[in-house]
Amino acid sequence: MATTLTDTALLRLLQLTSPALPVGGYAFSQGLEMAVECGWVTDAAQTRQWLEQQLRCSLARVDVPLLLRLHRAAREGDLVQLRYFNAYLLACRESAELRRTETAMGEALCRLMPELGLALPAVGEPLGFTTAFGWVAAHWGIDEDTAAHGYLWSWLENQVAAATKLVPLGQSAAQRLLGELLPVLVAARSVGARLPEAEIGASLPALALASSWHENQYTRLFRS
Amino acid sequence: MTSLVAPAAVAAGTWPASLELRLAAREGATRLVRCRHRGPLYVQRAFYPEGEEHAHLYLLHPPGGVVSGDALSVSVHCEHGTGALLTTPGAGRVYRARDTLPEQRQHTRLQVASGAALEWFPLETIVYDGACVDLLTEVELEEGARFIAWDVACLGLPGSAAPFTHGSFCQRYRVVRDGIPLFVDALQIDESNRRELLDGPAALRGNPVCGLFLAGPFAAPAEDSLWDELRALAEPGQAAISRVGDLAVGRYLGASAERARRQFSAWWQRLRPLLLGREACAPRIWLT
Repeated sequence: MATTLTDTALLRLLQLTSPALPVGGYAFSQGLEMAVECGWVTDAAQTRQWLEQQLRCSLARVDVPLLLRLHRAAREGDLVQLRYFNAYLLACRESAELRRTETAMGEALCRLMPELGLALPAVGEPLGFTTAFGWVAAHWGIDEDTAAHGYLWSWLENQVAAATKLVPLGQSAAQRLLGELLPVLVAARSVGARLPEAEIGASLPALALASSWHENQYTRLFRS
Repeated sequence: MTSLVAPAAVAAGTWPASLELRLAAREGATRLVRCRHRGPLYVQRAFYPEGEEHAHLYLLHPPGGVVSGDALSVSVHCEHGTGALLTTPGAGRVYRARDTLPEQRQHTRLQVASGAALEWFPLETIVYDGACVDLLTEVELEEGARFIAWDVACLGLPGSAAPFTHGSFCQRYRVVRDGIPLFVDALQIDESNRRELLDGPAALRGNPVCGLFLAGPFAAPAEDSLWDELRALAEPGQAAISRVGDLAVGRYLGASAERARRQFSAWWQRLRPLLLGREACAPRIWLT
């Protein structure tokens, strides 16, 4: 895939996907903390499997196709579509924790953006982070494919950072893991871009269980 | 003993079947005002074990399973003010597909009007090794409609006698309210990802039985004590329940369809009085 990105759009992408963006992504482990507690994820190899499965079976089939549609709705200023796909996005989140990750980070980004001169639209419901990300990317001139790569990267980096604390992983192992999962990330973008709307959706039952149990995990570092 | 191959009578040809039900409120009673069927899929009559406001209906499908080329279609429309519980007397079976006619389909569409309540409790679907099936359940709610539903799938025969080692299984569940999605779940297993989904750490983890329980929508934020109770009812290590938006979403992942149903039934007994204003009343057919 060849992309043409202006210098400014590239820099805006780095800003939008930076861990320093104050949206609180670092506060959520998205099921990983409980998966570690259950003994499902105990080393770098299992972390890789855990993340690879989500990239292939969930992000490629939910986040990417919806982000692309949300980006398009933002470009066209189509608030009806934006509201519909935002609801679709939240409908695909399998537990209170996963939904709160979307809405808490979405709310934070919506709060931040007016300070940067870009207000997000009100559609009557809270915007998910994916929705807000798509809107900001579209308005900063980041094309949809690049936005999808950036979105996936920021999810992956956040999960690997959580794994570094939880599993735990060494700093070098974490960086190696990011590199190993890049081809999976690129494939997820490409699968998601081809998915027809009727097929958008995923089911990862063990992730849903872990994430639901997390709400009541006795001691935890991450939010639920 | 469950047979490994489809009964000859069923295998002989493809058997499209459809059923269209419409429930309407008549002088405080829920009546089956339309019951159209084509092929071997029907309802004999409504039962009223808990009074005439809430009908119990049994969906009968004498072949008991679907083979290649079969297309089953069920449509249920609950008008304003009606209440109904629908169940099936036996497990649904999806047999091994034949090479020439691979696709097996089942489409269920449940429409619930404002002020109506629908409970949809089919027994488990047993998916035989080599099946190639597409199951779609669409729940269309109006504002003010309530529903409780569950779905249990067994991949391969119980007891690992014949695991699901080839074929495809696509099961989609979509709930919308006034056209806006509330819940979407899609388990899509095919040749390219079967091992990954059946054994993968975030997917089925080698468990053959996977179940989904849904109830709602709940208007007010639920009390913490209720959720503590619901969670306390969950079988440790195999089931969990979470509030996802306006819905209660429960899951079971394990080895037994019966345990999945027992789990969902426990949640149902706790939630039914809150959502429907009725105590749980098990359909008689479950007791036989």
